[in-house]
Amino acid sequence: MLPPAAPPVPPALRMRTPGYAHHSLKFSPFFDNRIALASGANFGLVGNGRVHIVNMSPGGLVVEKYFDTQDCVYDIAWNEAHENQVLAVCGNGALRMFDITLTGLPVAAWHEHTAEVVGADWSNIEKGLFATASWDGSAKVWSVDRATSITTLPTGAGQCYSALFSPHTPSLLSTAGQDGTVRLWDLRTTANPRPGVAFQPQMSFRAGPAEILAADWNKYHPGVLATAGKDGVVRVWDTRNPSRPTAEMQGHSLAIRKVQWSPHHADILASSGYDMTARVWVTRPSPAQIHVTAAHTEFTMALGWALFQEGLLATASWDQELHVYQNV
Amino acid sequence: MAVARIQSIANHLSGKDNKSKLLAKNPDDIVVTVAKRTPLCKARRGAFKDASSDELLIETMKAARENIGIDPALIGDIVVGTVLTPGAPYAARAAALTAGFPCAPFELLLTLAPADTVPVQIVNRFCSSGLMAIQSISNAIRNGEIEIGLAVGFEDMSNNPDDGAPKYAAETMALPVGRDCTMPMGWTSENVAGEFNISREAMDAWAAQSMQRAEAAQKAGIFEAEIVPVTVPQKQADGSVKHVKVTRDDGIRAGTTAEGLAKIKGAFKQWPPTQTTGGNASQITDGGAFVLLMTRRKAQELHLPILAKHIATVTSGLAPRIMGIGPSVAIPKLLNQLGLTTNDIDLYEINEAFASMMVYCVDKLGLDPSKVNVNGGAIALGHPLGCTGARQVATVLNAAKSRPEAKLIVTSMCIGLGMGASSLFYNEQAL
Repeated sequence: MLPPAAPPVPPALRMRTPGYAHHSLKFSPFFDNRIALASGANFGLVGNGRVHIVNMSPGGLVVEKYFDTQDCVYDIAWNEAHENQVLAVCGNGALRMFDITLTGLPVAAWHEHTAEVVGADWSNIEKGLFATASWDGSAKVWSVDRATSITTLPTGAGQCYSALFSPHTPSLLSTAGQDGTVRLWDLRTTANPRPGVAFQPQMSFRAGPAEILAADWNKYHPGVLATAGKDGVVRVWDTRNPSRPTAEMQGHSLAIRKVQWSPHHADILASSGYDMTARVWVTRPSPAQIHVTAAHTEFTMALGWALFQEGLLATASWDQELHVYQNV
Repeated sequence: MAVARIQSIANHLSGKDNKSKLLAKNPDDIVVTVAKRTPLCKARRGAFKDASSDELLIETMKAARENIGIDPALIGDIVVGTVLTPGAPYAARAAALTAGFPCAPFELLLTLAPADTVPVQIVNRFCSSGLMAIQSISNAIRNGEIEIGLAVGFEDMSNNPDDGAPKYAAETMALPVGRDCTMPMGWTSENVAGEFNISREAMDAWAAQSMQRAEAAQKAGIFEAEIVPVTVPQKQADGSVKHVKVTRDDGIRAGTTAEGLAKIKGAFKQWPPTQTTGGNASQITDGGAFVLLMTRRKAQELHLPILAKHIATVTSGLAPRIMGIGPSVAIPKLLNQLGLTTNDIDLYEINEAFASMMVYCVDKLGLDPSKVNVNGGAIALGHPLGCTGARQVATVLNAAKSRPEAKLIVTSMCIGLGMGASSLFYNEQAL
């Protein structure tokens, strides 16, 4: 008569950062208990930004350190070559590198973007490189030891939301944004353009009908990219044949702001956005939603899978809260 | 700068179409996990004719308890839609307890605290009562008052015939619209045919189509998935009473054609144009149906299959003398509220009280007949008044099971004394 009981859901770890709304989060690739939060005062619309370094223990979540910036921090990236360094990208176009063993000022700073920088990604193959995406309509590739960017990529009309290194091919970078188009760049060619010749993407494809606000490369299948955005649909693309998505997942009632593949399962990804939910999906063989959480009370802009603990998902929101919970 | 940021956020939030918003899946959604019915059997001549009203209601409740797939004690409330049942609140509460809500062994029942049983309420809005039960449960869940609820529709027209309107106050009878409230339903059917120039041919054609679709569905075994067999007493030729398991609808007439129906004489000589016949009106029938509703969160927690999401139910009023056209008012009201058009809807289940109102509603709303009552309607299956609203959900969700491309489903019915109800469901069954 009775169906098998649902597995008990362990209580979510929750933490609140009064006065600061969250836009992004990243688990440290070096420490299994460390999360960086990209935050800003006044929902990131106007005012200071802050990077929160959060320590996660069975007892709860604690801010062990924070770094203030002049403008909202929209994204962060851990330095893949240095366990204590984290890059913050800011609303005023500035990039700031903080060392979490120090306090106060950044250890490095760059400023080339002319509008909000909303995406940051550290290459996990070429560990000296990182990329940024900006509303100024460009993506830039940077080297940690150079004062200026290596490359500027014209990412199409409108705001760029995502610039991501392929986890499989060191010279491959994807960009996506407001024009709804995914562009794949071969950094070996774009790094040395002939004078007067604009950089050209290696390929580009229209990824769905709407503006793209988030993307992520699959960690297991080379060339597989997930995109999501204004139409609330998560799409999976095989970039070798992007004529149609290999999976489409509907469920979000409003635009999506983050999508991320599981680091532990080839066919599981998570998404979150303006409908305040975070959803976990299986993409193959048939796409399906396997979990929804709706614990946030504001736009859920930040989402990330833990790298060391399988199934652990964190979300953070304009409601100033960070939630961590165990998924299937 | 801040302005640009606000504009960007506003842009992200703009321009999503209504349909995709309705199709979104959220933990707070109200979902249907079970929708089934008893066989529908002809009043006074069918398989249920010897069962008492109480016995049939208890069997309906038992069928529900055994088929909901959860511990009955988890149910927060039961709402029974029934129109004619005398002493309905007594009958419904007693039947639920008799059927085992909650499911407790007898020894345990003796020790149960008074708070340990599932409460019962009845609701009566004539022919929409079964749907009103669903609406009532759905609203209680949406309000957070309960997490799981059972909607039941029930009518035993063998034992509880419709004796028409009672005597009204003089003040009511002084009004034309008040006097219209005395009109038997057959009269209102003739009014619809007369006022809107519905031809007898069109009515018989719809009725024949309903019969043919139901016959095909019955032969294909489609109804077996929505029917829960029930065991009722039946008098034998020798006067003894035997308990018999009833598994099939018995009102579907095989081989019905429009030509055949055209030969039947009008039933209401006194009310022109006298186009309504025993063949193109709903049958008088006994039966029950039940729909289990809960939040999506609860359904996932209990690992239950989700058949559909219940999105909304609306009712509206109209002139009592043409009560049959209720769906032509209630369906646009529902769709307007949700920002949809009739083109967005993939399946319709509209109660065939009379062929006159069906022909009118399908034509008025411009519906594709191939999307309406795909397995036949009340002309073939029968119209146990309080049961119908819940029965339609069982039938249409069963039809939608083999049509996963059919996403949005509307059920609707006309309601005596000039009302209409309609409800929107989102089919979540995949093949």
